Amino acid sequence: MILELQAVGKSYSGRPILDGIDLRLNPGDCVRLVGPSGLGKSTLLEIAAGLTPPDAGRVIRSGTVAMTFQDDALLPWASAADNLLYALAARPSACTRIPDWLAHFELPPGLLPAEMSGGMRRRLSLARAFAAEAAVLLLDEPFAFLDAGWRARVAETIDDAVTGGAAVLFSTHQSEETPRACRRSISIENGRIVAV
Amino acid sequence: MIAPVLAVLCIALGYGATAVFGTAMVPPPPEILGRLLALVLGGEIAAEGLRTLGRGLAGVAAANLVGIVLGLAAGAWAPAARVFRPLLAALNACPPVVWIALAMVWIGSGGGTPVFAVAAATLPPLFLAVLEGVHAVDPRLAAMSRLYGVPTTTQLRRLVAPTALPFWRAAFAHTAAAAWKVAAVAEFLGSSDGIGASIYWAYRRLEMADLYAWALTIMLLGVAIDAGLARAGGRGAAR
Repeated sequence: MILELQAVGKSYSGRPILDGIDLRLNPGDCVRLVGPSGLGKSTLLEIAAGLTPPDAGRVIRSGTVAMTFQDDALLPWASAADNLLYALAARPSACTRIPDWLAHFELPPGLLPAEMSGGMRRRLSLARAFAAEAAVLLLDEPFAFLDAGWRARVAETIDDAVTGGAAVLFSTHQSEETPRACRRSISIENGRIVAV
Repeated sequence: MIAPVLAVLCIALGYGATAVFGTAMVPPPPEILGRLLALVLGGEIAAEGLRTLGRGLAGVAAANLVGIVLGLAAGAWAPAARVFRPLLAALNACPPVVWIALAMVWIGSGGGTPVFAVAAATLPPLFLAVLEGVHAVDPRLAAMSRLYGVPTTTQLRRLVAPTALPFWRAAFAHTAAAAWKVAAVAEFLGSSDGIGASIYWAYRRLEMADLYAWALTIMLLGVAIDAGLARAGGRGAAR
């Protein structure tokens, strides 16, 4: 087990968003968190990443975590390559593969986020997460803003990461382009996880 | 076209003032300009001007050093912000003459008084600007940095500094413009040299041509510094 959520609960303004969430990810697991906006998918991912504290329950992580954010969270003044160099500053071995990941996602190294389309920014955010070579990948809407070709390619990249032993939890409101390695789909209903 | 017109207008006003107040109070413009030229050629303006500017610069540099360190610390650590923010905000409301008086008591008259007065007067706005700049860091980028384990020094250099820079730059331009004026006042009240002290001695000895020549010098220096800062600010904003 490299990520486990135990009876996690979270409320906003007295309204429960997550209620007694139990979720366990082992190396090589891939879980798709599906459903429309407002269900608490991003909140669940942020709690899993340790960015948002849960009101109840606990999260156990035993490996490094990388994440993509709904708003991409890119340094606006840094080029594509510099954004990756910044995030991977503590992982020198991962830095050596930055050119490969930029090439994989067809991103010009010198381009600033403001000069990119929404799809390119999402690809840069994904490149950063994959380049981190983390044990757990938490991907918030990885297919958003991408055309069909790129959605398929991102699904393949997720497959490769899972095959390589990473645990992946990703949220999506789209039902197509599910990575082949992803055998489990869940959703959130009334704050609780349900199988899809 | 405007500069020659302004020059002619100033000279005309000078003659008018001489006619109204008499040559003892307002020497005629040629006498003032002659004295100004003598001070320039004698090297007094360069020496005293550099002294005053140097003191202003030293004070601002010290304020920057302390203000940036304190601002970053308070921005990163909420308890420090709770202590320093109200304290520095209160000090920000103090007029420079308070610092000049205190410096004269603590340090005595001399070169240290203007430096201390400038540092004390410019520290609060610099600190508050850096603090605001740190607080302006996008929380999503801060969260991303934590998640990826970006080292603190890298976060400071690549995330906090670019965010806080515009806040600091605005405060720096404001304080740099004010610094040499505070230095001149401090010299007037508590120093034996510098432009402020030169004005003081001209006033005490009733050397009116000198007094107006130094006043003109300080005015022209102010215009030059403001123009330089505005130009540098424009270049910085363009970048």
